[in-house]
Amino acid sequence: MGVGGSLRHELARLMTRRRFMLAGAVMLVAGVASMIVTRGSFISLPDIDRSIEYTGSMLWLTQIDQTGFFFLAWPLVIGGTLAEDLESGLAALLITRSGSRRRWFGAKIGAAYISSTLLLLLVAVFWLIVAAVLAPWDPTHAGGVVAWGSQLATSAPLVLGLVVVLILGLAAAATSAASMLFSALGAGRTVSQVGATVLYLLFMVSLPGPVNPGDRASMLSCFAGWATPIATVTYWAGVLGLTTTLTYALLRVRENR
Amino acid sequence: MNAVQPDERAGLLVDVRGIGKVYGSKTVLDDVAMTVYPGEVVGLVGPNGAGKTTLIRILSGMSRPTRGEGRVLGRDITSTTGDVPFLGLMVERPMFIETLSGRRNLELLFGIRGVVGGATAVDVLARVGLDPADRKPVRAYSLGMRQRLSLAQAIGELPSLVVLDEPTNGLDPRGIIDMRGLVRELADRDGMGVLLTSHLLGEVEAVCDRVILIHGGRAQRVYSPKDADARAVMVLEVAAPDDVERVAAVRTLEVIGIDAPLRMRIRVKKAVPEVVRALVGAGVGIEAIHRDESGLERAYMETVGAR
Repeated sequence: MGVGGSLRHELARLMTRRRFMLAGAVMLVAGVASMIVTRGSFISLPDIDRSIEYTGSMLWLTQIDQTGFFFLAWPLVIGGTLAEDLESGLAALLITRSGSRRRWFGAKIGAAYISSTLLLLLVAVFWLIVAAVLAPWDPTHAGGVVAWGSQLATSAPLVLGLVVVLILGLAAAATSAASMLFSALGAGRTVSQVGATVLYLLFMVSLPGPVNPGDRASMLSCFAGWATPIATVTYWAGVLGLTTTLTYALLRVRENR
Repeated sequence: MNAVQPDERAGLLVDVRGIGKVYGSKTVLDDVAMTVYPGEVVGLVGPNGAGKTTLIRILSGMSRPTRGEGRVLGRDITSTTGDVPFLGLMVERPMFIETLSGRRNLELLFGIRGVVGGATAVDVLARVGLDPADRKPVRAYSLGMRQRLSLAQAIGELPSLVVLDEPTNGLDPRGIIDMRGLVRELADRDGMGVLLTSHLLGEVEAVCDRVILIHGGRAQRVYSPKDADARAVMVLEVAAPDDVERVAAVRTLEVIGIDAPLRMRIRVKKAVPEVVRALVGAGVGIEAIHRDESGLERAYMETVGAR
């Protein structure tokens, strides 16, 4: 009994959802539209150095950065499975097969991270192609829009893009884990999904920069001193760790109820 | 509940005693004991809210009892550590990945343990009466098809113990008959222990070796449809009112109830052919005589209805 089978089951469950595919389609279309508009707006500004702002690598990285705000939608896209499991009795079927609650729950968190990262990677590759078509690919010019990892932006934008995607996947897993926390507290599927989004919205409007999830999700364009790559990874890993620990503890409490 | 000798306990799939579960100030289960042997079908019958689901949750390792002790598939039910044992579970509201076919769902579920291969999914789908080649997504399945698929996932990996919660829910008459045969087959041919709940008392009586009547959180009574005592009860229909008195005079039987002017329940004291000969000898006009299949219903009413 390994984690592999549980993970495959959870991944199939998340990635065959219609809303998952819809989310991918929306990101693809909205991203392309955004890049076209972004390029147009740069062209229309006379005081912007065109040779910098036209680069495909910049269009691409800027678009990936903007995707950070999609973190609010992740609970709606991949959240709710814990509530489904608990409400329908599916949890028993899965736990008895995986052999332990830890493996079952671990597979859920793992699947949230992997599914969101895979989707982000897919749209990132698509955007990469579109960006290269829209503007010349010249990674030697980063321009002034990349504060976070600017060295990578001018030397290896693909690596920077990949790093950002991996961290945004972490943010997605953290927000969907918040929906699991709601479920462990006894909320149904819809409340769990919407509740997590509302919770993060509240954090966005109430918390200061260093701990504000919105600021942490827009990593490339954040110029604050605390917005370092290590701090960002630590932040999202910490949020994910805290949320999953709390959720798992609540699930064990439910077991004794 | 059962007079089980210590040396017999080694083979028990379920062996729990004194199980109690309290939610806040509400006692949901109180001093429940039960056993399930390999090859045995045990029914769990009671009204809604009797504590059946809570008991199943405890037996399947999803909840811990407030008090009591025992083992399920060798695992201590009070344990807070260690692996949860594998048992086949059919839950009341079967849930699958809606966009995938039944076969793909089974392959993914069986893949979690990785003990059986994809061929098992094909075999078990056919066994429960579903077409393995059907590529239709589960969202297009009827409730009956979902029930069959749910049963398939429960039995496909040949667990020692299968727990079926309302397995006939949503099935048409043909499905109910198939389910009955399959459950007996699981016990008789595959040697599985089967624990099932159902509100269809006739079905439970037809398929179970023992039935635990649970009410108000307590196991009130154990009814054994196959006991000699239960099998000795027959329904006798006679031709004329005078025959009723003649029946009462026959010594090889005892009239235990009159259900209608010409229909009564009798307990036979000898083999049925001998009793029939005695009835004919006494001049009784026999319209019909058959085994009484409503023993559980009466036991249920006596146990639950009177409370």
